[in-house]
Amino acid sequence: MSGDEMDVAALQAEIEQLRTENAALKASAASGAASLLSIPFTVGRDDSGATTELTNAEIARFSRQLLMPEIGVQGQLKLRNISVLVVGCGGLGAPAIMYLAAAGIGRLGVVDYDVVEASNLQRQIIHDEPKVGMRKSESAKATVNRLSSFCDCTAYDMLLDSSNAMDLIKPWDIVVDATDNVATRYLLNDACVLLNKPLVSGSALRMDGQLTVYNYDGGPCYRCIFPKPPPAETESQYTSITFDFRICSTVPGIIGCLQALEVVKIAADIGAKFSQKLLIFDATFGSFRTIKLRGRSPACAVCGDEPTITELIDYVQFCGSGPSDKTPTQRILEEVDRITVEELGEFRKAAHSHLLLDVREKVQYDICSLPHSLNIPLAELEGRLPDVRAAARHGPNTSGTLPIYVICRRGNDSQLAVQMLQKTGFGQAKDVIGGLETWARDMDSSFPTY
Amino acid sequence: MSSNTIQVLYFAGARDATGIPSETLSIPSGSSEIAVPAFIQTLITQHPKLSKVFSTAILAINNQYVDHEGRLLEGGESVTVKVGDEVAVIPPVSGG
Repeated sequence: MSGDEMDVAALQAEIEQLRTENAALKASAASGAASLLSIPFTVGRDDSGATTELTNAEIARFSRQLLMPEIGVQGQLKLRNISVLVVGCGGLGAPAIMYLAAAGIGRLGVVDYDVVEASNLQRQIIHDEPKVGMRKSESAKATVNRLSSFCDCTAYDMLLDSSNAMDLIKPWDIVVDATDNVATRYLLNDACVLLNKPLVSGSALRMDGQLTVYNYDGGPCYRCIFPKPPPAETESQYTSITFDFRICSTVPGIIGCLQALEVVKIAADIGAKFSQKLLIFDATFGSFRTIKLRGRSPACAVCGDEPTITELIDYVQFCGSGPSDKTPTQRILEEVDRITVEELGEFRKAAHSHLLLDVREKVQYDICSLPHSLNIPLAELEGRLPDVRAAARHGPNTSGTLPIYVICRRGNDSQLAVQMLQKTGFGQAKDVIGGLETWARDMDSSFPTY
Repeated sequence: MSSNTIQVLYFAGARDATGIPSETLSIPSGSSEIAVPAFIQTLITQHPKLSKVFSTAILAINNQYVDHEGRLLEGGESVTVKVGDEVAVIPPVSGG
């Protein structure tokens, strides 16, 4: 028995010793592996002072694209050492910024002057519900910081204009146009030509997307292709002056992703394939089409042989429209031709007979409307005046006419409608100041806004 | 597409102005080509709202940009729209 006990004790001691040796070997192997991994691919700094080595953490983080010969270590270092300015943190900027940060772009600048609204979140996936009300640039930066500790992101809460664009853009290597308006597109184009920066330009509206890389590799600039801005909408009489807010959520997402891809290709010296080409994405038919554009135009006002634009100009004046998507409040009618939402509320409460004409598009009317209103969109109004006449008939002999109050979303189109009505025999037509948004704000907080 | 017609594609605002994504046009009998300015005028006559669209829209014949005179570059030769061609009317999209 005692002999057995001795054997057990000896075996236990041996097991203990083997365990200790095993642990020591494991530790040694781990540190050996770590020291092997810590040998950098390349060491030192190049002449420009840019760092030319990847850390272990970077190797682990970007391994999937390090394995691609198109990028590899050299490409990844280029991404890290390049700086990209994304103008616009909306539908295009959201995926563009996130993919650029995720892919390892070393320095990102994100520019926007606006705040996050609930209606943005359907497509601007860089923002989320807790960020409603936050500055968009700060929200974008916060997302970048969460996404990657390898990206140095700077937020610029500012509206770009001729006075600040050159100074802002100058230090950056590549500029991404992720804006939503014509004036800022011409501003960015001219600044990028004057500062010799590639401009990765995307745009999207409704079911249409477009992508081109301008001012790169001998290709054209935006003005070479589109020398003239579109005519300002307000020029045409009785045409809606409401900013076009219609946008399918994934369309800017797709274009924004392609913008990020073009930036990565420029940064990694793979070359942009949409220089001198226009990509058209038609989401309705699911088609991508590439149009071969012209080269740089020698007659171009900014990048041509004898440029007439040698410094930034007034782009709001040039385009006849500004950068803000907040529809400016127009004042077309005189005071006497208008009523307030309070007055409308009184008339409705007192059951004072009137015709309430809602001139918004049907899709908007379907979202929300005031009871007992007649919907005739502004664009159809001229052809449907008999309907207005019929609805405004009043009294037993139907010879009298009801007062007509015209309402729209924000009180601009309703004024155009009243102008048209007054010229076509409806002198009694008046417009409701501030439209349904003001109604919701001042009269009925349960009325939806969109 | 039959061989004596031209396929016209309308994008973005051009689709709004015409109400259609595409159409097939015939060239007047006896000819097989039409100058670009005349072709644009034909489209505007057919769809008057295109006149405003053409103040900024670009034209692509068989996916190659041409200006409203039918030239690829200033001073270059003009091309014409020929039967069998596909012509795209592309206004700039500015939103984002």
